[in-house]
Amino acid sequence: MPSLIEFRGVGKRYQRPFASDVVALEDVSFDVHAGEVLGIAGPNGAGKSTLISILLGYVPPSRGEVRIANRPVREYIERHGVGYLSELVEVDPRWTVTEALRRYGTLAGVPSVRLEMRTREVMARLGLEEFHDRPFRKLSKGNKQRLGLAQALLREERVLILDEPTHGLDPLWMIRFRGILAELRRPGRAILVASHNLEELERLCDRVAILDRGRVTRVVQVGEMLPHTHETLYRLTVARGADRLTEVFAEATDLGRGDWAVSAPTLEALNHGIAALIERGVLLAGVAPAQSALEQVFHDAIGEVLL
Amino acid sequence: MIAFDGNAPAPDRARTARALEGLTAAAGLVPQPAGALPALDDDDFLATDESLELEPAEAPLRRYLRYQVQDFVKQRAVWLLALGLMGIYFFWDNYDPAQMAERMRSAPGGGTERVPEAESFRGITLALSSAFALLATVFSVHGVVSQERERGLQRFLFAKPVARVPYYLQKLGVAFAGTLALTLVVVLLGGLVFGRAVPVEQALMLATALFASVGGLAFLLSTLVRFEGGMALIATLAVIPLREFSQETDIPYLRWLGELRVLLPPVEHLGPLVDPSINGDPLRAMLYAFGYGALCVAAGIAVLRRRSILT
Repeated sequence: MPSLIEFRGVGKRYQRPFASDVVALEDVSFDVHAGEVLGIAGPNGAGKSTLISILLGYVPPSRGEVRIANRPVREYIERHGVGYLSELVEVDPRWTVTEALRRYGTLAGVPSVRLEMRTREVMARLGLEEFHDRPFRKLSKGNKQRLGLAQALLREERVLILDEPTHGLDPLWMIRFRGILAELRRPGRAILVASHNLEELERLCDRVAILDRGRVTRVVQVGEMLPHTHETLYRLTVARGADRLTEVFAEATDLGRGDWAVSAPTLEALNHGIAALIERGVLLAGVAPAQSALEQVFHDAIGEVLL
Repeated sequence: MIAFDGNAPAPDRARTARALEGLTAAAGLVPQPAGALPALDDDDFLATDESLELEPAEAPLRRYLRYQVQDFVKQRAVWLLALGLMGIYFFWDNYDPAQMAERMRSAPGGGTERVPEAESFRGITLALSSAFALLATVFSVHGVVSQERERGLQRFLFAKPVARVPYYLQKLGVAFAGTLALTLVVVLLGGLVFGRAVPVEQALMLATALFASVGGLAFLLSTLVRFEGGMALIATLAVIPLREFSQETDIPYLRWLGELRVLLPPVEHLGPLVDPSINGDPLRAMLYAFGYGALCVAAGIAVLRRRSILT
């Protein structure tokens, strides 16, 4: 499939008077293909927001180039528009939910004959019907976020950019959001999702670019990550006999409430160790990876150790 | 279409799966080198993607005009109209034809002959309508760019198929039309209250010239800073003392300072619009105002083009 979004050697340096420059992005290159959901993961200050601002043409890059459908970003957006949800949803506080959606729908170019229907559809899909006449300033944080998502979905855009899309959503809506995103997948659409939540990215994305200190350190294919090539952390929930854990896993760490963190270099080594614990009379209530495969890759990439 | 209806069919998963198969092959862990993929244009996407309804955006900015007008009416026109009505009431309550005529006669430059009452009424009407037009201009253009920037509203706005410069020029156009309409309404209402003819044409010409010059400056300031309405008003009123400096002082520094008024709205050149027989060519005055305003708007557009949207 063709690339819809292309980053080519993009760098961003913020110049500050009387202080050294801040390098927000350094030589960032990657593509987002049509039909793909690409995640951007990174710690705070890694450059995610700058990257998205450059992709939207809100901030010019200091070097390099970003293109959408082989056009300069502003040229593309001013002609076709993109679906965009920002981390902080800012809408005129006086606008009601319906008015905001009508306005954004109009600006998005939704044909006037379909605007009312489309507004009702996205309100229904995002559970905003009961708040339709409520001003933005009186909405809860979660409802503001849903309104932000609703306005991004008003028109069938080829490019969707979601910055921390589940920020402020309650657990129920976080689950629903996954369903909505699954519905938004199209062969011709590129979706870019930036999030702190690695578990969320692992569930939603085809690939994840890991951004650290302004550089894309890795782009990983979700589902093809290679765990167990080094020490992997597991969480053991011990119902009885925890005092014997260190006889098998010398570096076991008590996490409280019966949970212990142990490490094993391979799955075989883990199973061997578990068998040894059972032989010693330890009763296990659960075994699970202490971190997902993406979390492991992420922490490897940014050079941090978990726990 | 997105299947927003719970009963609607799910997306075509087979097609998605086929696309993802191709994607899996195309997407590696290593970023693709530049130019590795064929260049595309819109028609390619239209041809290859049947699942997206890629209907063209339907004249977004033109259709959004009604909301810009609605905002102007709700947020500005109502207050300005109230101000205009208060002004009319104040004028009506205090107007004494004989006293006014005497004041005009005894004012510096007013001559010794008695000024006809109709003339004094006309003069006062024009002065008040100019004051109203100036305030209406400042209030109409205030925040035209800065408000959305400061409130962070530009984020969603300019992700839509809308360009910044036409969007703000359209908003400025609404403010211009609104200012003229309000000036017309207030002047006509004044005429109605007094039951007399009012100089509508001249009042509108003055309002146009004031908007062109003061509104142009306020637009430029709005692309740069906040509080631009107040700053434009101060800049306009500063013309008066600066003119005094340049004409009447012997202090070189103050004289030089007075010359700075060439950078400010050319309100001192608008006299011919009030009375061509005394002050000169009204067309030249209008050109002066529009020239100044056009320069300011052009500078504002340059700022909009260069300045990043989020700062």
